[in-house]
Amino acid sequence: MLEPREQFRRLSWTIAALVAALVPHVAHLRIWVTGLVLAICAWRLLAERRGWRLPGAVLRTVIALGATAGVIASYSTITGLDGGTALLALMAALKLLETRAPRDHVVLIFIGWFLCLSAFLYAQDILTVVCVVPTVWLLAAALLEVARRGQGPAPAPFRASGAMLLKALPLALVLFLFFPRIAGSFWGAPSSERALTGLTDEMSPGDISDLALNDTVAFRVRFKGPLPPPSQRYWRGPVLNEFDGYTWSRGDNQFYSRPRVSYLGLPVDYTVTLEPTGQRMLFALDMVEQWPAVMAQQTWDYQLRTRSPVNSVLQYDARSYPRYQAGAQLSPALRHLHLQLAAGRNPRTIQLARSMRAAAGSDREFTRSVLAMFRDQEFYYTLTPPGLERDSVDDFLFNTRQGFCGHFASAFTMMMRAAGIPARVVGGYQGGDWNPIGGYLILRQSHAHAWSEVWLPESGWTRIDPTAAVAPERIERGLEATLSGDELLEGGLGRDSLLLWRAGMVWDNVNARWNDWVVQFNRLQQEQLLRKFGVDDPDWQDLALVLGVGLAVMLALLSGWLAWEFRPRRADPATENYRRFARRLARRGVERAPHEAPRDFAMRVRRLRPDLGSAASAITELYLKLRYMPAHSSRDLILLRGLVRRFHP
Amino acid sequence: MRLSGFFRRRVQYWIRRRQGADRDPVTFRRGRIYVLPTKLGVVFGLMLFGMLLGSLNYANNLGLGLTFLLASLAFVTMQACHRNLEALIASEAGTEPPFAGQDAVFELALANPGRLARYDLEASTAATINDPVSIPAGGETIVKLRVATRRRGWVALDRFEITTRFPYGLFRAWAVLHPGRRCLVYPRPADAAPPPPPAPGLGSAGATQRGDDDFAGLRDYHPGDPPRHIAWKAYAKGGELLIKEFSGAAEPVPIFDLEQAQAADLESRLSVLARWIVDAEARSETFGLRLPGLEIPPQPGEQQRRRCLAALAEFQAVAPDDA
Repeated sequence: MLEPREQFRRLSWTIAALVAALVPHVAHLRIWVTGLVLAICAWRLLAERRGWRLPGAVLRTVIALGATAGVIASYSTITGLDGGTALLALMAALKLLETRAPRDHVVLIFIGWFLCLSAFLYAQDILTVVCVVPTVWLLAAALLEVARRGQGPAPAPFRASGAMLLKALPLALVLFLFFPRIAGSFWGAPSSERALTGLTDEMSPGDISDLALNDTVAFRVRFKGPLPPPSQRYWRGPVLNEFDGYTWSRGDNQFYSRPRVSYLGLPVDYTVTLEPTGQRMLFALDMVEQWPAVMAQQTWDYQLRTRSPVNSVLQYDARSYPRYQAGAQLSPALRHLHLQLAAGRNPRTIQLARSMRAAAGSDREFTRSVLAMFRDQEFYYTLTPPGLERDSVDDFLFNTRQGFCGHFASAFTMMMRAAGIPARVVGGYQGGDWNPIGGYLILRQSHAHAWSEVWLPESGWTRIDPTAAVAPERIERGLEATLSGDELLEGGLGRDSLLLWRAGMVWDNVNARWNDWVVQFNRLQQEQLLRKFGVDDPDWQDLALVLGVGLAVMLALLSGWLAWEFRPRRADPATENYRRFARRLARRGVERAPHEAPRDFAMRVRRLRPDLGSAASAITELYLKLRYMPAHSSRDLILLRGLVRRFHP
Repeated sequence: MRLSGFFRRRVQYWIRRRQGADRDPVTFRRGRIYVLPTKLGVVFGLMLFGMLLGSLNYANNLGLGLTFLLASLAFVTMQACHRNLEALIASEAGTEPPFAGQDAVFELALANPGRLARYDLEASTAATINDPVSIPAGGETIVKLRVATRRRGWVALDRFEITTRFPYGLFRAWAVLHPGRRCLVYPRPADAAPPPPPAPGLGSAGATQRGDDDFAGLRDYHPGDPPRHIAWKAYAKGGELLIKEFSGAAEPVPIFDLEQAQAADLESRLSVLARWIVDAEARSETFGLRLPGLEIPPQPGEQQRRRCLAALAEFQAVAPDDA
C-alpha cells in the first residue's frame, strides 16, 4: 500500500492528464458534461487530501445511470460521436470515484488516449494536432508515474516518456506511410450534430450576409489548367426550389428525371479539398460533367449530394464545362414546381412583376427590365441589410431596398415566377482568393453567394445573377471591392498590410499542404510514394513488403540506439590501462584471479616471469597511486599509459 | 501475464533445462531474459486494435497516426523493459542461518554496470515477492531473498526471479536464476527447557583451568570474549582492550550433552540443547557440546555458539535435496 502523499501525487497526475485530454472537447461538449466532469475531478482530489470516504457501489451506480440518462436526454443517443464522447468523459470521471489501485489509474490514462482519438474524429486541422500532441505526452508521463511499483528514485516523467515517444516516432512514421488503407468503411460514418457555419439547404433573408464576414475556408481548389475568369467561377451548391414567401428551401421533391445537358467548349479540370460542412453537398463549377461517383450523386437539379454528411476533410477531382446548355425541354411537372408561389404572400411584388412583364413584351426583355430596375433605381448592396417583414420580397422591393446577394436573388426569382418564367434560386460560392504561394484558389465562407436560374425556351436553364446588376465589382473583384471603408473596418476584412496578407497566404498554404499530405493521405498517395521508391505498378503485396522492410530497418535502428544508450560505463583511464596490462599477461598464460589484489598479482608475475617483474611492479604501483592516492598528477597517467604501451610480455 | 498451474510448471521446467545450473556470478544476458505482455498490456493492445479499426473505418489519418504512435510506444517500452534487466550482474552475498521456523535469508548483490539507472526490480522466490528496488548507474544493491524454513538442517534456494514491469507496466520482463545455494537452519530453541544439569566438576575431559575466582593476569581481547571480563581500567589508561583472566578450579564448565537433554524425541532434545547454548552465550558463559561422535571443547563467545548450533543443525540431518 502506498503512503497517502504518494497516492495523492499519482491521483493528481491522472486527473491532470484526463483534464488535458478533455480540453479539445470543451467546444462541443454540453456545458453540464464538462462541468460535472471537472466537479468530480475536484471533489476526488479534495477527498484524497481530506481522507473523505469515496461513494459506495450503490451511489456510483445511481450517478452512472443518471449520467447516461442525461446524455440520452441531451444528445438523444449514446452511439453518435457527440454522445459517445460525452459518455466516455463522464465514465472516466465516474471511474475516478472508485480509483484506488494503480490499475484504475492506468485505465483512466487509456481513456484519456481514447479521448485524444475522438478529438481527431472531430477535426484534423493543425490546431487540433498542436493541442493533442502535448496531451499525448502528458498522458505518457502520467502513465510512467502511476505505473510505478516502488517508491524509490524515479526517472523524470516528462523526459523519460518524451524520449520514448521520440524513439517511437520513426516506427510510427513507417506504419503511417505504408500501412494499407482500406477503401470504404466497416460501419457508418460518425454522426455529429455540429453546427458548422456555411450554406445549408435553406435560405432566409440575411442568411448569406451573416457569412459575409466569415473568413473561414470553405474549400480550396487546385486547377489542372489555367484559372477560369471570375465570371465563370460559380460553385454550385444547394438548389432552392420552394418558396414560402420568406424562406427558400430545397424541398423534398427529389424524384424528377434529370434534364439533359449538352457540354460545349473546353472543360476545366480541378481538385477540390472540402472542409467539413456537416451537410450532404459537394461544390463544383457549373456545369459539372465528371466527379467521383462513389462519393456523390447528381440530383435532377444538378447538385452533387453525398450519402452522409461531410464531417471530415474530403478531396475530389471534378471536370466542368463553363459553357453548357441544360434542359432544352422542361417537363410540365418541373414547370409547375418552378412557377410555384406562396399563396397570398408578397402581393405587391406579384402585381409589379405582371405589369412589368406586360410592358416588356418578351421573357428575355422582361429579365432585362428587372435587372435594369435593380441597377437604375435606388437599390443598395450592403453587408448589413435591415431585417425584413414576413412578406420579405415586398418589404425589400418597396421599403428597405438594401440587400445582400440573397435578397436580390430571392426577389428576382420570385418576380420571374410571378411573370410565368420557371425560375429557382441557386446557392453556392462565387469567385475565390488566389493563393499565389500555393497556386490554388481559396473559397471562404465570405464567398458564399446566391443567384438565379431561369428556364428560357431558347437556352434552357440560364444563370442570371442579379447581384451582378447591382454590384458588378462583387463578381469581378470580390466582396471587398463593393464595400465602403466603415464596413471593411468593422468586418476586419481589410488587408491593407501586404505583409499580413502574405502571412495569411503562407499559413493557408501550410493548411492546404497539411490537408493534401496528412489528412488526405490515402491509397493513391501511397502508390505514388512506392513509385518514388522504384516500385512500378505497386499493389497490395508491394505495400506489405515495403512496410515489412521499413519496420525491420527502423527496429534495427531502434535496437542500436537503445544498445548505445545502455552501453556499459567506461572504466576510468587508469583501470583501462591496467586491464590492458592484465590482458597481455593473460595471453601469455599469467592470468589474474578475481580475488587477487594488484600487488599480489605483481608478486606472482615476478615469481613466474622474473624478466617482467620490474615492469609489472612499476605499472602496478602507478595504477594503485592513480586509483587510491588523493595526490596524483596527469603526468602519472601519461607515464602509466607509456609503460603499458611498451609492455610486451 | 502470469502463467498459471500446469503450464507455468512446464515453462519453469523448460527454462531450467535450457539455462542449466548457474555459476556465480550471473550476468543477465539477452538469452536469459523473458518478456511477455501483462494483463494491462493485453488491454492496451485491445484498445489499440479498437482505435485502428475506428480510424480505418473513418479514414481518419490523424487517428491512425495516433494509433501507430501508441503502438510504437508500446513496442519501445517492451524494449526498455527488456533493457532494464539486461547486463545486470547478480552475485551471491552472505547468508544468515536462521532458527527453524524463521526465514532463511539469502543475500544477493545486484550490480548495474551500465550508465543508466535500472528501476523497479522485484526479486521473488516461489513464496515471496520483495519490494521493488532501483539501482543507480554503476551502483549495487543487496537484495534479501527469504525462504521459509520448517525444520533444522539444510534449506536450499533453487530458483528465484528478478522481474520488472518498468516503465509502463504493459510488459513484464524477467530473468530466472538457479543458484543452487544452501543455508543451514539451526534447531529452534525449545520454549520451555529444563535448566542445564550442573556441570560435573573437574573430572570431565576438556575442562580448562580457567575459572572465575582468582585474578590470574591480563591477555589480549579476542572477539567473543565476555564484556564483563574486559579490563576497563586498563583500557582507560592504555587504550588497549585487555581481558582479565581468572584461575581456579572452583567454577566447573558445562559441556551440554545430548544424553542430558530430557525430551520426547531427538528433535526436541536438540531444541533443548539449542536453548541451553543460546542462553549460555547470552550470559557470556563458557560452554561446550557433546553429541554422539562429536565433542566441541568449551569456549565462550559468538563463534562457539555458531559452531555448536551448526553441529546441532547438521546432526543426522537430511540433505537439502530430499528435504
